[in-house]
Amino acid sequence: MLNSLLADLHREKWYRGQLTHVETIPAAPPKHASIPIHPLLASYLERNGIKLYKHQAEAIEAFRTGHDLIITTPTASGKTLAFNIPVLEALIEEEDATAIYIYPLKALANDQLEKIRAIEEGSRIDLSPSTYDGDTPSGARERIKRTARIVLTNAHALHQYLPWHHQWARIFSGLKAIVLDEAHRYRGVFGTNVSLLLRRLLRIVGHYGGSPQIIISSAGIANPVEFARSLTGRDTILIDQDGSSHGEKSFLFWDPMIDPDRSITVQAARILSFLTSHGLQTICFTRSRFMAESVAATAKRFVGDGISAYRAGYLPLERRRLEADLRSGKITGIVSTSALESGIDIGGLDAAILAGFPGSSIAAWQQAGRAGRGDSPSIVVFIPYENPLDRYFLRHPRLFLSGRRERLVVPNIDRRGRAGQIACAAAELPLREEELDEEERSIASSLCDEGILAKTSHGYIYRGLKRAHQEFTLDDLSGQTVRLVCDGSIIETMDSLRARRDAHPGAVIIHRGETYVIERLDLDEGTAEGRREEVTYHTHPLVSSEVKILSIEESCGTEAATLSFGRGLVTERVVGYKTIDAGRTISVSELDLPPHIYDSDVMWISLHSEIPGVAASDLPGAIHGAEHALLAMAPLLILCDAGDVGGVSSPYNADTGFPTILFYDAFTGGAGITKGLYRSFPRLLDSALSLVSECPCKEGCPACILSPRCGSQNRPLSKRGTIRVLRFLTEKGGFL
Amino acid sequence: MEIDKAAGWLNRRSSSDKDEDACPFIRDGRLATLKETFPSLRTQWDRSFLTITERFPFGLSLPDREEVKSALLSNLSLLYGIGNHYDRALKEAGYKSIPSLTLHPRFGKRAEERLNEWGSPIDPAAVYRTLYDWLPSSHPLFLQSLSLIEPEGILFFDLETLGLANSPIFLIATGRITGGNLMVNQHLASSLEGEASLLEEFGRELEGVSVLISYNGKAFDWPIFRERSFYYGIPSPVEPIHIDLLHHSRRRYREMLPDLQLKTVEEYILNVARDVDLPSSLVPVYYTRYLETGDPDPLLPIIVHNRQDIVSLASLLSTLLQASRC
Repeated sequence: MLNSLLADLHREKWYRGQLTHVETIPAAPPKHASIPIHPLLASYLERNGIKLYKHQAEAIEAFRTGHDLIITTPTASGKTLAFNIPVLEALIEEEDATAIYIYPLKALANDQLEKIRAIEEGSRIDLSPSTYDGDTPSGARERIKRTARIVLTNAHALHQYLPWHHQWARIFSGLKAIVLDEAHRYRGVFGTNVSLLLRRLLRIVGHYGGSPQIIISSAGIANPVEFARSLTGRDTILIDQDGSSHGEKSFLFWDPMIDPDRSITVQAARILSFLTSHGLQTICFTRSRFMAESVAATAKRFVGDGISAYRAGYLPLERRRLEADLRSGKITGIVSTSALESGIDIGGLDAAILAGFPGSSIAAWQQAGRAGRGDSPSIVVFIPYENPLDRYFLRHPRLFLSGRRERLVVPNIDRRGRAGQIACAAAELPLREEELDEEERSIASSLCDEGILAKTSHGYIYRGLKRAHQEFTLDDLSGQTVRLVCDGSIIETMDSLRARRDAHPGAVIIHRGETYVIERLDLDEGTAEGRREEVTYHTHPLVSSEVKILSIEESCGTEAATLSFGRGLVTERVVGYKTIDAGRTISVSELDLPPHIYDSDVMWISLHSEIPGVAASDLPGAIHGAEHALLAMAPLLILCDAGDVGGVSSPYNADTGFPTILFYDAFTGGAGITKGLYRSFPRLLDSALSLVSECPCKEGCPACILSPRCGSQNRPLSKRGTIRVLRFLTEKGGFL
Repeated sequence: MEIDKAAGWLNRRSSSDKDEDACPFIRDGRLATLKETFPSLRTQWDRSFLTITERFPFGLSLPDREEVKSALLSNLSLLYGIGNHYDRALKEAGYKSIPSLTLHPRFGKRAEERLNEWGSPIDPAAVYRTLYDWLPSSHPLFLQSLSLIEPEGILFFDLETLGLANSPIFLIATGRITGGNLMVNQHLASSLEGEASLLEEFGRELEGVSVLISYNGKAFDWPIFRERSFYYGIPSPVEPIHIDLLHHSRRRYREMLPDLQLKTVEEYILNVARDVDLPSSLVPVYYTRYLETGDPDPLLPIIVHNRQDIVSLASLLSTLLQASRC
């Protein structure tokens, strides 16, 4: 099939030879395992023609033997069933048993609810599943807490419900399982907050006599067991050996630069039209809602009806109609932002187009997983943007296909955030001394001095004048957030550091695929105001920072260069922003915002000897370029966004006394990213060197060392010098 | 009243800054107990809270029990399926009361069931269950039906907290009617340590109580008491019949008063003027100051303020009962 399809492609008038590489993963037969399961469930599976896969059986057995588990098999491998069966068995066994499913987003909980309802109807097991979150009508809340056996909620909502725990006494005392679905979204500081929330939840559940097992379901990541441990603090069994069958899957790597006259939008629309007109139902993923709309509109011009764009925030009814239209073939091509990447079940399609690398292999594989219907062959087309990471994957297709994934890091929380958690815990139940470690005790005692806690013989009790859980929210336990208000409603909250970078006046924010333009930022008041507006451009903050090294924790290297990790004091200034449309900078605007000064994790490379071939005058541009290249490759190793790590380079650093390139976590207190980069530095260096040396440009381009976020507007930069510095580090650095 | 004298002293002290009077709370450089300060008060120390007891002359004149019974029995809308319209129509047809309705072909069975439920002699708890089901909580029958209860079974209550939801309770006051008096008990935590014992003490006071009377207690005081009991893992008692006088004041005085704070009702309806009074919003602030400094001065205005709340609650009940005579 693929060969005739490719032959047809070559005959297309618009085809300019953009297909640079094709790689095919062969079909795999299913690996089944038969284990006895409860007759009610067994007959349900049989009636629906479902035979358990090996990994599902493993999950069931691990749960039955009392373990916590993390399931990381791919999209469409039957993960949901793998955790639903053991949970339902526990619920059949004891009529008072209950389970809580925690989702990162409300919409995902609703989708899961429908799946559980289907099982309930098909198996006649009384589960009374229900979502419980901010949307739950107040009239229904009482009944849910009285009768539901499976409650689906989200982390933010749960945080607010914990102080009212006695209303949940029935659910907590019978709690057998906590399911953390889509857990790969709990990364960075959010992950830390969720882990602390989980600790508080377990404490209260224990108070009511429940002792649940925890099941984590996540996309494939590099460090699942470590991640699970940092989230739950407990040991888990890893279920990652996919036993599901899949058909042959071909990856087509497409270089849009070969046809510079046509935009990526047009090329994506061409491919979408080509695939659908060959009878292949196709999903195309784009980076923004606007692009989704343009690709859909352009493709419609080529092939007429049957193409639709998908909007975030579709109601269940609209989604069901969409699913029906996909099933009936009325829709042959659908264009979406990452909203359809996971969680929401639209079934399998024949082909997926990734217009732009979605920022991580984890997400890319989720998107690619949408292609594949049963055992039939499927196609994935990857169209890179002109940025370092995208271009790097185009040139290293095997790397993408190797199944190598990023690490998910959950950092240790700083003292201020811990204080918020301690205050909330003490507001839930008196907090006993023995529940705290030494540092937490010292935090609790300073909270007593501040009049937030009081020490009594029952433990620390909360005595603040305001409600603890409103004062300290899940997003910001330090109590300093900026609310992003658009058209009268809060669409997001962020810390003040991120607000300076992303919510300054003039900034374009993309929230669930919609674009918003910020009009006002008031850091004292903690609000940013904006309006919803469809714009084609996006903005990049220009960040200029200084870092003072405070301490060295680890160091390695040679006489020529050393790599160190430690703590630093970051002074970050957002000096302006760039407006970019269709890949071109159309304006640069200045901003006058106060600097943000914070402690963070830092990593730095100091160069102790002269670099061959790099003149002193070329050194600033050389190390600046190396800084950009290393930064650009960071998301290859650690799951993070561009901008989560900052960089500074200077030919003379006062703290080290040498030319130095320094990286810091762009989060107050640090987020564990640079620490991860320090551990995998040889790989980071290696990929940065190949990024720059393989790039065909002469002077440096947006696909290698030019960074859209650079505070000094990419001046000075020397591509030749960059390569020499990176090569020097590889050969002489001896970092292991 | 010695407590009032002390409050006056506080007031003078704050206005004049003159320190000529000795502070009534300090003895030999240490904190005096209130008992030492006010020897005539019947006070008793627990390990962690202080109870101040005082009596005020008070009599509650309840409507005649038989009249209330007949008012209840003639309210046909206490039966399922009967609204105002039917009530009128049935009465015109000669069914003047629930007992006479037992002969009605359609409502007879329900009337009989209702009478059985109420029992004979009539069970006030069953009556109140019916009232809760069929009438708004501000209906005068809620007040009038108090005649069915011995006045000793009534408990007025009010509590003070450090903030809003989830904050500690540090003072619980109750009032009960005994032999021509209103006996006010104020349980005051000597530190936040005392909260749990305070809750348990209130639980003991609730034993044998038939009706609780509060001002905004349905929305605030009782739920907070429950929350705090759960917080400490103290089994929380079942809520007795609970009449919230805010609901009745709202029904009767809404049009006449600028707002429905207890203080406003006192001023306009009960003709009570508090000469020295602490605004409610300052109550937590004063208690916090006491906690921080150990200086008991700020407690006094709290005690005076809170005691007046209970006294006013009792007198408001009298006034509302007068106004709602059947």
